[in-house]
Amino acid sequence: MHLNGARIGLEIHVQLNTKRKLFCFCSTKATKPNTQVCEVCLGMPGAKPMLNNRALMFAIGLALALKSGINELSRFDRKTYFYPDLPKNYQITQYHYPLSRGGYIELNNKKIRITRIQLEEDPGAITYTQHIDVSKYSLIDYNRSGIPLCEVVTEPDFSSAKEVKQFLKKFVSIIKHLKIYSSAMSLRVDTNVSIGKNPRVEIKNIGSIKDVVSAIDHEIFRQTQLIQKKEKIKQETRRFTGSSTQLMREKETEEDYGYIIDPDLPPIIPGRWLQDIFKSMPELPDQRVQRMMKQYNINKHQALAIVSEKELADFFEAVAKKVNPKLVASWTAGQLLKVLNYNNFFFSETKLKPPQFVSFLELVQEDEISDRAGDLLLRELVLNPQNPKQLARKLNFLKMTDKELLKLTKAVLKKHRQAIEQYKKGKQKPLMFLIGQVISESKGRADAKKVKKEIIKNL
Amino acid sequence: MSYLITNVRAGKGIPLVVKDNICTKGIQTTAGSKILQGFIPTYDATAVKQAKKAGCTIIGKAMMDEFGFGTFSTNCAYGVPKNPHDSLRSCGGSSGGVAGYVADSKKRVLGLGQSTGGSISCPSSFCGVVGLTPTYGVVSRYGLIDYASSMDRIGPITQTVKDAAWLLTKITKDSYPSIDDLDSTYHRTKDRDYTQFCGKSIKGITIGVPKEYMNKASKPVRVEIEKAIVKLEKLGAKVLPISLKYTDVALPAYYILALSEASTNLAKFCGMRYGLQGNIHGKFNDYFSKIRSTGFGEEAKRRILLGTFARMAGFKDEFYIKAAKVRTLVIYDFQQAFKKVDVIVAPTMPIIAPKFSEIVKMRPIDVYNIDTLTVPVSLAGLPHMSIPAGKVGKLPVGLHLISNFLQEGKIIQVGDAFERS
Repeated sequence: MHLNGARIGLEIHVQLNTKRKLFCFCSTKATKPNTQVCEVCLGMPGAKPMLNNRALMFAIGLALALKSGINELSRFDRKTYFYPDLPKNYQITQYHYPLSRGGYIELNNKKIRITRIQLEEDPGAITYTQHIDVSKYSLIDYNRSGIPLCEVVTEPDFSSAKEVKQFLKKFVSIIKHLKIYSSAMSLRVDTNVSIGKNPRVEIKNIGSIKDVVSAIDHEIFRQTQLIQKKEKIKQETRRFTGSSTQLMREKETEEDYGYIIDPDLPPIIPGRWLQDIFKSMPELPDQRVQRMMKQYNINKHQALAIVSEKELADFFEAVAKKVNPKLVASWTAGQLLKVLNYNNFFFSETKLKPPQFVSFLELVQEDEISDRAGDLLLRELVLNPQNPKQLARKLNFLKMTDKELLKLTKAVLKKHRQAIEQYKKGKQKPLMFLIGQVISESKGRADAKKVKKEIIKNL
Repeated sequence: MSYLITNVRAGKGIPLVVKDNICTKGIQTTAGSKILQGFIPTYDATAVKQAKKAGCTIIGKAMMDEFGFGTFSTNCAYGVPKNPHDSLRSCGGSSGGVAGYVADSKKRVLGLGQSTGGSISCPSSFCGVVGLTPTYGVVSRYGLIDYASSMDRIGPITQTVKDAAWLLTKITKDSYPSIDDLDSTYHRTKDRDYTQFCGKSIKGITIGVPKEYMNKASKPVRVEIEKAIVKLEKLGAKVLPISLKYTDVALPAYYILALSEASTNLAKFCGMRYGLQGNIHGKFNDYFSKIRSTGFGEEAKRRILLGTFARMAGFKDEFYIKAAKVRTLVIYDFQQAFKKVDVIVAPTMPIIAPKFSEIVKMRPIDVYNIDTLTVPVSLAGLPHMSIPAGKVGKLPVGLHLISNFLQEGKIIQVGDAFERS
């Protein structure tokens, strides 16, 4: 399969972690359906929007972090389409004059350009009682209506799903460092995929990074097969079902939303806030990599790997206070990430806590456990976090104490008198045999050098 | 005669009649449309809240053209108000119910009207009452059911200029820190007292008379306005002829912008969360279409279609964007005039209240053309007030007073002096 010439672009919709909604005073956190709603976010007659400046500041922070050019003046627009989850039947978004244009995120070996960043309101959420195609009715929860969304649109600069994954991980790391997003909020992605000069196909509303990666892989595969079969690729909109992409609608012409400037909302003139927001910018992932390299004397590769997730970087720094940072870095960027990748986990999905990792690393440092056993033990710990020493004991991973080793050696020597005789005659092979026997009986817990010493001593 | 959609048992206080597109807590608010039948707001519009705080009590919700779409209050789903001076004639619109009620009442009563393109001035002129439309933004629009958000304004319709000044003083009051006053276009006026402009002389005030406006008036109306101007001169005002050359292009620009906005503002009415409802089954698009087809009147449908057309890709530049540019020119036109004069005076309407039998013969474009004198000030967002100035037979003629932004004081001063003379 040749993937040459795949072009992929993203539209990321990230819910901002404000206390209140974008245009009213309702809370963004609600448990029961339709409890955080008011005239404004229900689109009642006569209600008007009032911008939550906090959300604007969050979006400005993101624009600054992505080096996007903030427009001196931007405006809100009305995007009109009829849908039951959209109370006013128009969405307040930005179209003519977005908050910012340009910017980029730097990956290991390339820059992904940002087209624009804009602020908009989330519609309500529809749930179906059964599968969408057969459900007799749908339920609408307007708690989500009016939650601030920041939309980030990229240029079609990606050539593989792998790059998209790298980008999205870094993007999430940035918005978490900015503290404008938490894992409890939603992040939805639309992506468009084209190969060579063929029309582009849009996949809408994908709910997680993993699904984005998987959807793109599936879509590239589907389009490549069509090309190989010399079939035509149509411009269309598809959705991701979890195992493939599925046609939603063919798209002969662009949908016409009849955008007009929203006359209820005055222009945004962010100038007066820029300096303050710029000054109070927290440390961002790229800066953190530089600092950690210096502070902990670790290499760039390790630092990059660790900062790829904010939770992992926080975890590392917590552990590095207690244990030699170089050892922490080597295990974190090494085996820990390997186990996570193998299981297709993000670190944030595990429940491994710093104290557990500290005591794990202490086992390694004190030489109570072999490197090989350490690998195995960590794998268990990531999947099922618990007290490392107890787990190691349970799994019989701890190295033998000298007393245990003496006892085992004596028992082995007793069984193999013939080998001892031969060794005493000056042959080396029997010694190797005896060492092997002890290690095998210890189930890998005995250290070869120590065993050799112990055998010679006891002959 | 009947001017009200909903009668309300009055409590103690100054009686207030409210146009039915202004939300009143616990009282049905329909905006004159069948699609909002049975809609009972959970909150008071800020202007209503402030009027109540000042001692007013609501006695009724008045008839109006559906969503403000009309010049004669004939596009109302709940009856048509008749002119108190001649029941064969219209009250004007779209705040026709309020103006008719206030004109007809022997007792003191105040009205809250609303204007997008002249809907306070027009019925005030036809019914012979005072209608004051303040600068865009000085009265919070929170709780006003939108027609065109960038032009909609709430203002008093009263029997005297002093009453208008009093009510304006109350409804412009800042309701801060009340968190439900969510109008981002609200402009705080530092609690100005507008009644202080009553009882003053107008000596030295310069008044401009735009020839374009005079030329558009019918002869009997022009005669009355000319008499009124002579009277103002006698009171000490200096009168200057002026020209407002963008008068003609203001009308199409107004309709394009107002209807573009209206077509999005009215999208929310679909029978889902309030107002008219049907049996929900089948596809949501079919349900929305059914409710909107039965709920909206003919003029509402016409304006939604026109407005939607004007903002579609491919037409937007020629219509919506161009109209927005014309709006800037209209504002510039007025700003040039206000360098020379304090107040502009003109006929409010080019005609006296027409008969219903004449109205039915009018094409939509004929009706739109009647707004030609009130539309430029509406586009520009300038304060204006219609006051009674003479009669043609038994039918009143309205004199229009227009001032620069936030200069409501000047038109109140001139209007009050004229009324007292």
